[in-house]
Amino acid sequence: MTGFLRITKLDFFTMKAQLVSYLSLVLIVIMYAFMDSSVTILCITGAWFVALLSTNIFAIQEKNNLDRLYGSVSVSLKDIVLGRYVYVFLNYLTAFLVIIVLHSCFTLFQNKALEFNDIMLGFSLSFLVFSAITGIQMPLFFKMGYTKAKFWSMVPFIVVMVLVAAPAFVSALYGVVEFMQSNETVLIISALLASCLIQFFSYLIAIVLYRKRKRG
Amino acid sequence: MIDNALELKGISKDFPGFKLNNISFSLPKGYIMGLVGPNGAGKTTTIQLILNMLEKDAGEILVFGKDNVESENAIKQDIGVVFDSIFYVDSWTIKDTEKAVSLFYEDWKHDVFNEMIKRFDLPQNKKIGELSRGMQMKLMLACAFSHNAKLLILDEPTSGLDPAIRDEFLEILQEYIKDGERSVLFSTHITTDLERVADYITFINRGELVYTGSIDELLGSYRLIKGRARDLTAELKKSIVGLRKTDMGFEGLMEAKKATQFKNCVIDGATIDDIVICMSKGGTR
Repeated sequence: MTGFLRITKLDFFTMKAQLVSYLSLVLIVIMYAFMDSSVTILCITGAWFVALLSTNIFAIQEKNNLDRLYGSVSVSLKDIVLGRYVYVFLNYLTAFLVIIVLHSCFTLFQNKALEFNDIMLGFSLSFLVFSAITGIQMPLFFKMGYTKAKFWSMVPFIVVMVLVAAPAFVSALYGVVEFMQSNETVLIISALLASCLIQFFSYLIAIVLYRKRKRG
Repeated sequence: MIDNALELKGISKDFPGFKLNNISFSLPKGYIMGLVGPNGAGKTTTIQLILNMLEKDAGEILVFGKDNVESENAIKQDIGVVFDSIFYVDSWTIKDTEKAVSLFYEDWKHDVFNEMIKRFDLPQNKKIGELSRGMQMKLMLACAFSHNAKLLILDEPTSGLDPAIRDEFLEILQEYIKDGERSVLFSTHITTDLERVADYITFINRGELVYTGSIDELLGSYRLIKGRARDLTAELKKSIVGLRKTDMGFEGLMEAKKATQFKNCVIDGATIDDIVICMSKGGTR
C-alpha cells in the first residue's frame, strides 16, 4: 500500500467514532424528499454538510497529538497531505452516493423519474461547492492547525453563500445564471473542471504551507 | 560495518528567541544514551530534528549510517518512538491502535504485540483515553517493540510515572539492548534513572552542547565542593561552576582534577543532577 493510502486509511480509523454523525445526512435526504426539492439542491446541501464535518479530522489530529504519530512513522509530508485530500474527497463521494441512492428510492416510491442529467448536474455543482469550501480550508488547517485556523475556515462558507446569493442582487450575474441554465452540459463540464483545478492548486499550496510549518 | 546507531554532526536550528547550536554526538550500537538538560535546553528539538519532524538549518544526522532526510522512510522502519504523552486517538482501543500503527510497518509482528500487551497487562478493549499514563507509555513501547525497532527514541517517557512503573520500565530497556544491536536515546529530567541504565550521556544547555561521552567519565570529571564562607577565596570562586552561597557557607561544582587543591573544603562525588543543576546555573564550561 502506498504512503498516501495508508494515511487515508489512518484518517478513517481516526474518525471511526465520529462517523455516526454522518447519519444526520440521511435525515436531511428524508426532509428534502418531503419538501420535494430537486436532486441538485439536495446534493449541494449534502456537500455543504460534508465540508463542515470532514475537516473535523484536523481537530482530532490536534487534540490527540497525531503530528507526533505522523512524524514517527514511515510516511512523507506529501503523502500526509495527499492522503488527507483523498480522505476528505472520499467523504464527499460517499455522501453523494448515499444521497443519490436514497433520493432514487424516494423518487421511485413517489412514481417519479430521476434523470441522469439531474444527477450529473447535482454532482458537478455540489463538487464545486465542496471544492470551493475545502479547497480554501485545508491549506489553512495544514498551515495553522485546527484551533488557529478555525475562525478563518468559516470564510469560504461565507464566500460561497455570497456567490450563491449574488445573482439575486446583481442583474449582470442573472444573465450568466440564465445562460448556464440553458446550457447544462457546459455548466456540468465547467463546474467539474473548476472543481478539479481548485482541488489541485489547493493541494499544492497545502504542501508548501505544511512544509513551512515543519521548518518551525 | 556501521558501529553507530545514531550520529549528529554540527546540527543547528534557529528559532526566534532560541538557537540549537552545533550539536554533535554519537550513540554506539547496543548502548543507552541519556539526553539531559533543563527545560528549554533543546532536548525535544534535537529529537524532532532526528525524526525529521523539524527541518534542520545545518549539519548532518545519520541513523544506522544513513541520512535521516534522504532515507527517512527506510530509517523509520527501524525506529521506535515514545513521547511524554500518547499520540494515538483517545477513542481507539488497543486493538484499533494495533490496526492503525501496523499500517506503516513492513515488519509488524502481531504475535509480539499480543505478547507485550499480555506482559504489560494492558486491557485489549479499553479505550486509550481510559488508560493510565503508565499504561499509555507501555502501549507506546509495545508498538515500538512490535516492529522490531533497532533504535528507541524516548522523550521524557518516565515523567509523571510512579517509582514502581519507572523501575519496570528501566528493566525493559536493559533487556531490550541485551543483544548488542539495539540502542536507546533517552531524554529525561529524572537523572537517577540514567545513572541506573545509561552508558552514555549528552548534556545540552541553552541550545549548546555541554558534554557528550560516557557517564562514568562525566561523573569522574566533576566533584561537588562545599565549605564555610571564609574558605571561599577568589581563586576558588573562579574554579566553581554554579556557585551557591548559603548562611552556612557555599557549595558548587568543580572539575575533579582541581578539587584536590582545596584541602579546607568538603569534596563529594557529584551526581548527574548536581552537574545539570550547577551547569545550568553557571552556564556552559
